Amino acid sequence: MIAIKSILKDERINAYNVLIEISISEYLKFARNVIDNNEFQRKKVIKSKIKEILKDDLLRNCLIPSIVLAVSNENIKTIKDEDDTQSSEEIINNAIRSNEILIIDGLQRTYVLLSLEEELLKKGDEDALQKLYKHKIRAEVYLGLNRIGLLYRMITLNTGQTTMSTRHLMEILYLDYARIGVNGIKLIKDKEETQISLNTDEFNFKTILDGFNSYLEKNEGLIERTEILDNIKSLDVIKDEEINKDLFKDFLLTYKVMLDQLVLKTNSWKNNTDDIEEQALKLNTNAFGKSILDIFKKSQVLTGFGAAIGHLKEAKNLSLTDIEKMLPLITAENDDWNTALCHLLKQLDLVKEKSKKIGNDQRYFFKFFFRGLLNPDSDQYLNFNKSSDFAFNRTREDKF
Amino acid sequence: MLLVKDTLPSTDVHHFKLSSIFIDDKISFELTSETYAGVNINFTLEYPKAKIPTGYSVSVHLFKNNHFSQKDIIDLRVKEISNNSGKIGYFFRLDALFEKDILQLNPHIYPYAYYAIEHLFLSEISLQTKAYELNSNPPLINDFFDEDTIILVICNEYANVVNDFTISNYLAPLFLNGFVKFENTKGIDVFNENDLIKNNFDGIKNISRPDGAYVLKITSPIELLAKETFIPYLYQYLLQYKSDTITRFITLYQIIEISISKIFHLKVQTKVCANLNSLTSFQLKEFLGDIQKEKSRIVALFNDFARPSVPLENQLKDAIKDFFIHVIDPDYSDPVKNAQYTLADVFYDYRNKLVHNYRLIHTPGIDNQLTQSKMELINDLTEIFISQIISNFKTT
Repeated sequence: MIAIKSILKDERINAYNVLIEISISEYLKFARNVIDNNEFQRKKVIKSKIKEILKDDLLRNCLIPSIVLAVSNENIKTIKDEDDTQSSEEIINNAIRSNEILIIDGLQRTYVLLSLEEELLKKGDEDALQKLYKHKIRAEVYLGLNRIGLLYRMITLNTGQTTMSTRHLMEILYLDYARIGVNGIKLIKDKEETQISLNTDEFNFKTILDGFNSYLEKNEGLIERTEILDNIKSLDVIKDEEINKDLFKDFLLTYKVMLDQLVLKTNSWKNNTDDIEEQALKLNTNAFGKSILDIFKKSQVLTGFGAAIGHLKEAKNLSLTDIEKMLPLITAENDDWNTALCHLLKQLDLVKEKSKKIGNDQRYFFKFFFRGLLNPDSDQYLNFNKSSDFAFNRTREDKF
Repeated sequence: MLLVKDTLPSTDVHHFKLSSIFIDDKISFELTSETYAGVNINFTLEYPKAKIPTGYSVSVHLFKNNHFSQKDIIDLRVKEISNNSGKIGYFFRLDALFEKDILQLNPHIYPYAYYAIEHLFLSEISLQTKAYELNSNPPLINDFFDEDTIILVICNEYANVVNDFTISNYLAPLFLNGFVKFENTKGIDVFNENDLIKNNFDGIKNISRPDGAYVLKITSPIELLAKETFIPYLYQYLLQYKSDTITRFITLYQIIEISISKIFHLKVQTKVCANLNSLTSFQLKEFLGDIQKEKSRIVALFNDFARPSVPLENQLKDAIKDFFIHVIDPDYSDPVKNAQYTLADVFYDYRNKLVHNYRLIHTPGIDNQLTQSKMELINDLTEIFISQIISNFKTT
């Protein structure tokens, strides 16, 4: 049973903080189940010496600092005001029952409690165990905390989470899209074991994020490897989140339009290497993709696309809407899409042959491919074949 | 084993060691740490699983090679082993093993990759070349190893056919093909970018096996040189680090010193001991007098014991003559005489003048920066030259 002692509102993150008292026995019942739930926090083990001291102290009923918890389901209703004890209790108890609690601060203390319980059970020291179970601790539970608020509070409190990369931070911020999708488009996370269908309605969440990052940064490189944020920068990113949330959606929809156009124009082209008679187009390595969608749904293409249109936005003031209008006008020479795509694959094959870092060079190739294709001032504008030649020449000159 | 630094302010280092291997359609390796609960580091060998033979072990060495493409696989063979065409292992780019669709791993090559990864994650001594601080991203292999790290995976059972096999004995022929060994304690500061090395590497790629792998066959130096501890030391700890131009040349010249010291004994053995009764005292005195001269032994080295390749001989000779002309050395003012000099003549002269007349190259009016770059070219070519000497030195 939990006993509510005080409720205060955190106006900054628009959430109620409920101070409760709870017996260690009650706490451990649910803590064990929720310990792995916090995707934001790493589970470091404290030094064994300190751990032993804390265990000894706990056996002597020491008081440990409040553990900070949050109800993890942000969609459930919150309370009316700071006097609404009854609803608070109900929400917390329901969250405990359904394991929808996150430990924001106090993971190490929880580990120590669990380890002590295990030791006493092993020793069969029933008296000490019961004494431990009855002992009470304080916990603060955040109610109605949305994901951003939760991150914000964790970062400002610096509650033991490890440094975050822009990439991971964005993954958390846009996680909702992975859950609910965008205009019927499903975004599938790596952890899900669902196969991503080869159509224009399902995408890998991570791949879209990579493309979107490239759009924001005008850089085709995978941002996750380049920037680890300190807490201040993390807060800056969070502050911009609302602006970017719609942009993320628009970026994805623009990309979908491009894919739909390519599928339509190429008549759902599939690569049939056996049919290639022209020696010059034969590949030495495995083809970059087996079909139009297999090629254009890869991370290298999305990041190249993102970096290119990010650049065009800055250099030519082209919006996503402007880009979207161009897409139906893309052409292949003599409308021969088979030759255009076989040629593209051959060029990517040559990139692979020479490259010191294949993925990066393919991203570079596609950045210039789209910079040629979608720049109204370029000689390659809307011409698939010329853009592909332009991209290949740039990659060859700059990288090999 | 991989090492993970704690986030500041803590300075703890956590040891992550291979704890389990999941075999599905691909093979995944999971590393855990006793001091960091709940964090698993996972790596997947991004290629469809193949059968892993048992009873084999590997050793893994780290190399870099500026000419090596990410998709390259090189089958390393040694001439000392007659079985199995002398095959002892493979070179791979480490990161290529963890990325999709880069390599063509057939069922024969696959186990080398598997054993290499197992070795890297299981060994008590970490080979890791970069410090990695835990953050919220799942780590990539390039967080722990330099991006251009090439691993040489040697099958111990194959290599052990050679008595006291050690990769250190093969570093000179590997260097000639662009492979430079490095260790986690220090990276590589300088690469020899000379085209002769690139040409050697490209030569390996002229013919590929049906599975796309290339073959490199090398030989260890003769026993006389293999015993010299300075040689592996030079390739492991000196060549890849920047040093002053003169110091570098003198360091490289040690291989000439070692070689000509061997020549003294070899010559005495073959020319004197074997023919002692047929030599007059005068002939004996004359021969010993001649072989004592350093220049004679250098001539013998360059002409008989370890003749450089023709392109190298020409380039090195030209580079040294070009240097002397640039510093206005009076011995090189006559083009007719210049054309008659051999490599032994100019190389020995260069060495002597650096040691005895170094001050002269700083004569006012000489472009010092150009002097430096000419000396650097000589050093690059000398690196190749000494590597050829070590690789090709013949006693007969």
